[in-house]
Amino acid sequence: MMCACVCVCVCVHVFWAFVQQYLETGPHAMELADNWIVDMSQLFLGHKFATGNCSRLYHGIYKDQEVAVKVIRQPEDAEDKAAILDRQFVQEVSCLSCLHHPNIVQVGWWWYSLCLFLFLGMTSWTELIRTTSSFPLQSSAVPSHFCIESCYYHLLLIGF
Amino acid sequence: MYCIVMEYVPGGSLRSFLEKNNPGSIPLKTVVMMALDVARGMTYLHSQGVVHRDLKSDNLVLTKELHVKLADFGVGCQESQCDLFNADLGTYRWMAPEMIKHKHYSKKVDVYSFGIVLSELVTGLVPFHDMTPVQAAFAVVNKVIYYLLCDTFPF
Repeated sequence: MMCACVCVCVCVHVFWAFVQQYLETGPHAMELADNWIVDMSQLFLGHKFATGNCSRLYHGIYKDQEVAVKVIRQPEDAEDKAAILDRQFVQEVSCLSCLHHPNIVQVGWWWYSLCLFLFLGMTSWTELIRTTSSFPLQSSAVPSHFCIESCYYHLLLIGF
Repeated sequence: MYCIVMEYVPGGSLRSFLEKNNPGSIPLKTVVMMALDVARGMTYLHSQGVVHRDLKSDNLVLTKELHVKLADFGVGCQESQCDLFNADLGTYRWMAPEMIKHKHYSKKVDVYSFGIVLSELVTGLVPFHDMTPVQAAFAVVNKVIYYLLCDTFPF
């Protein structure tokens, strides 16, 4: 059991190193600092409050801050559209991340899943159980459906 | 799949705010304050060389104090690179004629969209509300119609 845990940890670290390298040097690499990347284990999704063509906006909590989370899902059957969305994501992030003004919505972090499904699959279960069990369910500031939605969404992410 | 984590602005979009209120019922002071907020945001955006290209009431969000913030930069671009990606962007009702015609355009397309947003603020109605988006685009390009506020101007 111990051995399996160590193996999983090593795999996760090796895989994360690979992902980081891809993000820095791969075809979609952007000149952005590491701290722009969302730490998914600290992100909780709440209710959906807006829907676009291929995107959905969720109310969420990230590192104890109220945030809006825009999730863009690429259609699997339309490559042209996927390429457009790909470009739009890069444009939106590169545009917003250098803009700071009281009349412009501030972007905090971004996340690009390539083969991160696997990474999430390995870590999100333990993280999810740890974080949801310590989540202040009784607190009026954080409604309980946050945890449920968060679990549900993580399940969707890892392909359930 | 992509994920962008942004500042949460609780007031919803300007479009939904306008729909909740009766046309023309928003006080002039609020209208002017909102218009100035959009103008300030756009001025800053243009000073940074960025063109929004999809400025409309759905992409403007409200704070609790009814201040407006610009959002959704999915089709925004640096002004120097705009023409590279000029196909099928923006939303017809708010789109400047040169953009509909796929001609060379500049940050002035945002000024056109801002004009349409101003008319929305004043009348509370979707621009060219009696036409479909394609009809509106056709009329703007081929019939050179103007959006007249005289009939509906509430002040």
